[in-house]
Amino acid sequence: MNNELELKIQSWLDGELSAAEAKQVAAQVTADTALSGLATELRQTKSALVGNEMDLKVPETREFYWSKIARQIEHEERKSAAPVSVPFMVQFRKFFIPLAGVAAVVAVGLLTLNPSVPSLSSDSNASSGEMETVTYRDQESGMTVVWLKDREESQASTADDTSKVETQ
Amino acid sequence: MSMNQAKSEMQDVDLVKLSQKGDLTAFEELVGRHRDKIFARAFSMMRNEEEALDLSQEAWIKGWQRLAQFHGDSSFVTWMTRIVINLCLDQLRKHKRQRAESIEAMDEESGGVERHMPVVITNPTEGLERGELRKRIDRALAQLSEEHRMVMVLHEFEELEYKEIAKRMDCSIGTVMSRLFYARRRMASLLVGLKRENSE
Amino acid sequence: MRVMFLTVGMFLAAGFAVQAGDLKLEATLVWGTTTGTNVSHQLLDAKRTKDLSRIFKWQSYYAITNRTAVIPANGTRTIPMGAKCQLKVKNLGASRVEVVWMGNNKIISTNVHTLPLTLAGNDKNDSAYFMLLRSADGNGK
Repeated sequence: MNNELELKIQSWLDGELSAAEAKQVAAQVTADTALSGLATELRQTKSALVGNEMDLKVPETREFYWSKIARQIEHEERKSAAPVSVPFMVQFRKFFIPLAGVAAVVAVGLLTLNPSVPSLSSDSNASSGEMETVTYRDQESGMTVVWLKDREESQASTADDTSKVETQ
Repeated sequence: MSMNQAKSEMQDVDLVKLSQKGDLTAFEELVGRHRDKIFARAFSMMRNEEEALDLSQEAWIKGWQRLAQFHGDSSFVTWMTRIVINLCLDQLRKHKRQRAESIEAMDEESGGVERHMPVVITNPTEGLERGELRKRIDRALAQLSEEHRMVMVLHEFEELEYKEIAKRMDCSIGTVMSRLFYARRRMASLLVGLKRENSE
Repeated sequence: MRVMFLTVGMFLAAGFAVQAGDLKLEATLVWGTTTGTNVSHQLLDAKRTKDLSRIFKWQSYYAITNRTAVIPANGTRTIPMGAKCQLKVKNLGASRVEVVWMGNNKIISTNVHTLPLTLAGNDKNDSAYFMLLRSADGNGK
């Protein structure tokens, strides 16, 4: 049995042959037991697979899965935002400089009056070069989760502590 | 009725229209609806949960960015599935570049051991309950080489024609036919092995 | 006389107790696994296991290291969590913290968030590690 014929039998089963070729291959398969055996095997394998793919589910909650997508979309959109044109910046500075002065005075005043004022900075994450972080807020527990992603360095560092406790 | 409840009752086509106008919550609903399917396709191709998660999420990000290119020629989920497939194929090309040329790699097209395997006439999956059949198919798929698995997934699960697979995998139709042939032969042999394993 | 004792007593008590603005922080290093087992460490408490299980896929969570530290307002404390792993936590007030996670003397990440906070990532063999940080004042925050 040559390989060209084997592939032709497969193409016949997959409906990829012209009517004339299909007729010719069908005749050859009927006349030869080896060919018909091969055709049976190919047909059985094909039909076993159709509609029998495993039903898999994302191994994360909908919210956590989406939070990573949303974060990346926002990041990409910020990145691709058009740069501010120079003439606009000239206009902007006219307002920004006096406004910044006022803001600075207000901030100094606040800190002087109440030195224990909580940090004004917003949430932030910074990681070593090999890593990226994804933040997710779980509403039910009120917990913030920072997922440190795909960095060999961090895994190595924690491995010292966790490898001791692996499968025993 | 809250906004999210209203969105959960909307058709995909309406959610897509809202998403195209920049409504991220509409897109979130689409992700919620179809995330399992997109993840499952990535997993069936990559056989690695972490990679499948990353690639499926990357697919959703790409989907959002390319929404303007979606004109409804196919269903939204089919369109998204194509995106995740392309990302998986790109990833597998990267794997292949990293992999040293080996006898196994050369055997992908020429058939290797599958050339000499006896034909399986008795159906190894006959009489199996559907859940068990799916499990065995999954186990057998996991044992195929990346190229063989890819062509099987695209042909049997995505129901793509040879020429479409060739286009996506960036190879000739002959290569697709050859890979599919040997993938099926190997699959038949694996299913026989699993049947034997279970009857022992 | 009674007033004097009371004042001295209050002064002494203040010297030893947690001051207003201090943060009593509990840090727990946790290992999450589905296939692995661990006989040398306790399973994490049910409440936090439930919280983690709701978000993540792993089925078992083991508490590897548990530390408590009192951090004064605007103060920083270094908390050793393992041989090569430590946290530097700054108390920013109002349950906000800046956490610098160090591994092998290198900074892994720096995060500013409100408690409770969990830092997490993948570990080998499809397991994961979690650094759970919460206020140990009893409010679970």
